[in-house]
This record gives sequence, C-alpha cells and structure tokens, in this order.
Amino acid sequence: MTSARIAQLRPKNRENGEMYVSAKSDYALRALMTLAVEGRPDDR
Amino acid sequence: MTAEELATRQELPVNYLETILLDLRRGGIVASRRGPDAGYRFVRPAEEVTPADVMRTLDGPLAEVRGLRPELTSYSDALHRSSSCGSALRASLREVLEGVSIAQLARGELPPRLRELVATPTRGSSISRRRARRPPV
Repeated sequence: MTSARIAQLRPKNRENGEMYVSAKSDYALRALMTLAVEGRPDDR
Repeated sequence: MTAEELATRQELPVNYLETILLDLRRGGIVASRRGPDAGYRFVRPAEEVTPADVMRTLDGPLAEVRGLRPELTSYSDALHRSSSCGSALRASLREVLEGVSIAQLARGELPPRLRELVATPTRGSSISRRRARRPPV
C-alpha cells in the first residue's frame, strides 16, 4: 500500500479546526524548491 | 542533487526525505540517477510542477468529504448545498495550489492572484478567536 493511499485512509489536513499542509508535503516542497534552484540545469 | 544534499540544505531528516523522494519518484515528479552523477532530477521542468501535484502524490486528493471527492457526496434535498460548499472548497484549494509552480516559489515569485490573497488580512478562525477570548486559567 502506498503512503498516498494510507494518507487517504486517515483523517488529515486538519488541526485545531484549521487546514494545514502535512509535514511530508512541506518537506517535499522544500526539497523540490532546493532542487529547482541548486540542481544542475538539466535536473530542473 | 542527492537526498543527502537536499536534506542538508533544508535541515531535514535524510531517512524520511528518502522515503518522500521514493514516493515522488513513483508519482512521476522526480527521477533518480545512479553512478558518479547520482541524484534526483525533475521529470517535468520545475516550471510545470505545482504544489498541488506534490500534495496529491503524497497526501491524496486536496479536498475530501468522508473520503470522497466533494462532487461524489450525496445529501438529502435540503442539504444538497453542503455538497456545493465542498466543491467550492476544492476549487479554492486548486486555485492556490495549481496557480504557482515549484520554480516560481523557489524564485520567490507569486502570480498576481496569489499575491492578492497573501495581502488579504486574515482575522483568524472562529476557534482561535474563541480561544483568544477565553480567560486564563
């Protein structure tokens, strides 16, 4: 079972009544932004 | 760039980031390369990848009601507008998360519509307002 499927099966994106971005997505976005800026031109 | 390099730059736990990158690879967002130039690269240009692509890959659909897409929920006649509310929520999330690319975010650029939303003062949720009014114990 993929982690995306597991994520679909549990309550998510809710904390104290607010929407939030999961730590997993936050880490991924930070890593991808780094890759977009610091990766070699053919990596981007 | 390798997972170690990405983790170091962002001060992230490398083992967890490797798991995330594996999911992103399965989702077709990044590809990995072996050999002396080992590391990760974007499959599509970073200009074409949005936060929505990443979040759907890792966390599933952007907005769900009882595990269903909002348009697939059914209510009695009197409550059918609840379904419309879920669809509107999904549309607003898509407007933001599909409205900017990873490359734009990395450059610190926001499209005009998103800049407008960021500039709109938020008043906080009803829950946080209630908490703020609650006297200290």
